[in-house]
Amino acid sequence: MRRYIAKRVLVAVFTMLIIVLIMFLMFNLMPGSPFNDQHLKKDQIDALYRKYGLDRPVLERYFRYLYNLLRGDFGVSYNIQKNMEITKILALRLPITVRIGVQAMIIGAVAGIILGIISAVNHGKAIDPVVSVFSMLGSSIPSFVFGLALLYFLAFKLKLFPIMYSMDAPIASTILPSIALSIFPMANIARYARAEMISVLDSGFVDLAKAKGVSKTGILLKHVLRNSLIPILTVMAPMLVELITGSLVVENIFSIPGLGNLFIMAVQSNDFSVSIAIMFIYSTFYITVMLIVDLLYGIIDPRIRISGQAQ
Amino acid sequence: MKKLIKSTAAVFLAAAVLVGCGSTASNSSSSAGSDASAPVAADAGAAASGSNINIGIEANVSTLDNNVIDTPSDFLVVRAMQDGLYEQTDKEIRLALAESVDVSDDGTEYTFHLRDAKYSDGNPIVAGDFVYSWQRLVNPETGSEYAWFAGAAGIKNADAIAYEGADLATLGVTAVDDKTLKVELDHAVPFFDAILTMPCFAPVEQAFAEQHGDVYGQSVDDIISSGPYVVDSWTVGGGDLRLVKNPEYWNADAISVDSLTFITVKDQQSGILAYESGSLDVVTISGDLVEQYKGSEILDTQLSPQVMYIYINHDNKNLANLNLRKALAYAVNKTEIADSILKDGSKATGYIVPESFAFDANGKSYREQVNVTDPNGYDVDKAKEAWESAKAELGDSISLELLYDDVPTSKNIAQYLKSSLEGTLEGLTIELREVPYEACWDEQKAGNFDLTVSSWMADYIDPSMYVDILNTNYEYNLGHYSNAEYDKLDNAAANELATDPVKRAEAYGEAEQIGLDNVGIIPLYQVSSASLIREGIDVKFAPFGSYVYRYATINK
Repeated sequence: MRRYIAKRVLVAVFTMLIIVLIMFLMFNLMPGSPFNDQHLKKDQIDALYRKYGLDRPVLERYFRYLYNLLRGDFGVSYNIQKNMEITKILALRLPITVRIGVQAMIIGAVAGIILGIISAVNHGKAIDPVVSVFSMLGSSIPSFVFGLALLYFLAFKLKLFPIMYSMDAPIASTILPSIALSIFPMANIARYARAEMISVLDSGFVDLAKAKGVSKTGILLKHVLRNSLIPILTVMAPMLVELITGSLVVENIFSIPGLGNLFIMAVQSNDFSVSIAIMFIYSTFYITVMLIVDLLYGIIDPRIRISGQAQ
Repeated sequence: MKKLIKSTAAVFLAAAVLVGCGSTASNSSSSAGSDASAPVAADAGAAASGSNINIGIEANVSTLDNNVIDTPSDFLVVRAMQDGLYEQTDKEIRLALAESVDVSDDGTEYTFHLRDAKYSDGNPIVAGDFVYSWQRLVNPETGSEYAWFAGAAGIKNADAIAYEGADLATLGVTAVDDKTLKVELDHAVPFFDAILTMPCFAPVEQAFAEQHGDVYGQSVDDIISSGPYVVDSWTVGGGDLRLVKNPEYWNADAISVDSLTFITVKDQQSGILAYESGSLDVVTISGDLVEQYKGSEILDTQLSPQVMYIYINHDNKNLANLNLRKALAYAVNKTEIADSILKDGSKATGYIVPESFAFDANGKSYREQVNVTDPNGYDVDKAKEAWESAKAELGDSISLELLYDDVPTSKNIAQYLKSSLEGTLEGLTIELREVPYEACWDEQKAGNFDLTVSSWMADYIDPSMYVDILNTNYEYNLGHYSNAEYDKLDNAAANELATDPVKRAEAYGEAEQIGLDNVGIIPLYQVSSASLIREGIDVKFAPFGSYVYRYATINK
């Protein structure tokens, strides 16, 4: 097991190095410069390149970048937040995006599992297709539609939440965006939970428990839910990453100063030190979560395999 | 000299997508009226005691360092924070930190006598701080996009330092003593005072800036003010930025509103909801949203110093023909473009230089000073007549390529032009060529078009900003129009007539008339800026195309 973990971690680190290299080359080969204002003349641009060390060869800059990265230094922003250390910019924005993503995941997971249970328990009854239709809608309607609807009814009409992000009310400001974002995972988790629970409900040990006279609630909570949760957990991990890396549109609607927003600005203004830093964070996040999921799979491997065969 | 980046593009798109919600916002506009009695918004987080205006801005503030500010949001905030030698909030340009100024007869030497004024940290504002600031502005190391302003202002050696590596110390600005600043110009510049109202010429306290080094202007702790407001809180990276009155400001008694809160609004539709609910007092709108509020008291539309033109490529052998150019000019119904396609308050124009721009000492705008007539008004009969003459000279079938960018406004105009020109001028083919916005300027600068739709916005207030665009030697004469008489008048206005405002305006007027008579370019409309402003709030819209909040008032 230790060897397995060590191998997986090594692969993850190696992947990160490759990703940084590819990003570095991509942003350097791309046309345009962070200093592309038509009023800037060549002398000024040369001076800026020297100032930021951009006049050095790409490989030299790559290794220097890696060295700085190891010390937690992403460099400075060239034009979004002129000369500000990127770590400072990220420290302001990352927590907001993560908070919204995590909140969305919690809302989505809890509501999704409850819907899944209702649907599975009432399998074949009238409520089951209702939940299915909701799941379908939830996974096909884009989050900004929900975002705008929530904004209009809950924030504007009922005045329960601020319309735009306010630093003075960070919790209240993130609830609506989290709900808007949670619809997609909610719908998907409901589908997974339903399918998983129906299959568990059909299995032999449930029949055994019933025969032993365990109460219906007891069976549901102790046996069915517990056994269905593990596969659901494994789909939730990548979903969380998607929520955090894909909250751009919702961030715009609610004017949230998050990471997605920053990323678009960085790409548009060729502020590539910021772009690389954000992509690095996204990749690290993704790879770490995938690594954890892989390890989880490794740990719970036997059960998964057996349940896989049973299906 | 700026090709305007249409920041409205994104919001326009968003607006187009979200029209459904728009109607609901408009329906509830009456409730905003009832809120008008309480202009001090409460729930945007500005827990200010006293009066406050919540202002929606489209992009977050990138820096408060006045030498390197860049975005419209930066300018808006810094104009409220920093004071220069001159200031402008309406037609008039007034002395600010300078109490008086002596100008040499030839207009090339200015001696400013500074008033007793302090920074927000309590230190006195001295002449040396202007020297430091201006040297910092032109220093290539600073990388200021507005370094060229110092050259445009005529300040001696500014361009040589910025672009040719000359020594900083050679810049034509010296502190005679703490209270006296001497500025030497290469040549007389009639709009010297107008250009000096730009925040990049505000003083920078040397000791403070050097102490903060690279992070100067980046956070609440890294900036001080020389003007009416000082930054009180700022969540860098897109959050709210709040300014409060600077108690050290020399003219603090003239400042009425206690605090200004700038709130980033990424989505215009949400911005309107925030306005309607009272958490924003001022929000910029564009496109269809303007139409929805038409007639409402809260809608404030102002003409910006920005004009949309059809540029004509004079190197094209067909377009070198005056009759063809005349036919095109007569056939364009500008009023229909402004009133039926744009519907956002933009105004059809037949002139090169916009209106409400470049006021003289008597408060008359350039358009009121000159006697220029529009020879090319919409006239189908004249268009057909000119077209027949053109065909007789060039042949029956003429094809022209119209280049435009992928911003919705440009697309709509291009499509309208194609259908109306082809409809009126039988035998004419307009081929549309759409390129991404980012690539369009390069194509236009390279002259890769027959006709192209493009707007032009003044960076500082002077008719030369527009008249120059048909000067043979001007860098941004996109269509390569060339007329010796035009050049002569334009050059004279910039040089020998520089110190005679009346004759100078006349020369520009004569040049403009030549440019229009010869259809050097086809003006379409003057762009309008539209905002919703809470009733009771009075804020001035300056001729450079932006609101200036330093003297805003709230009448409860």
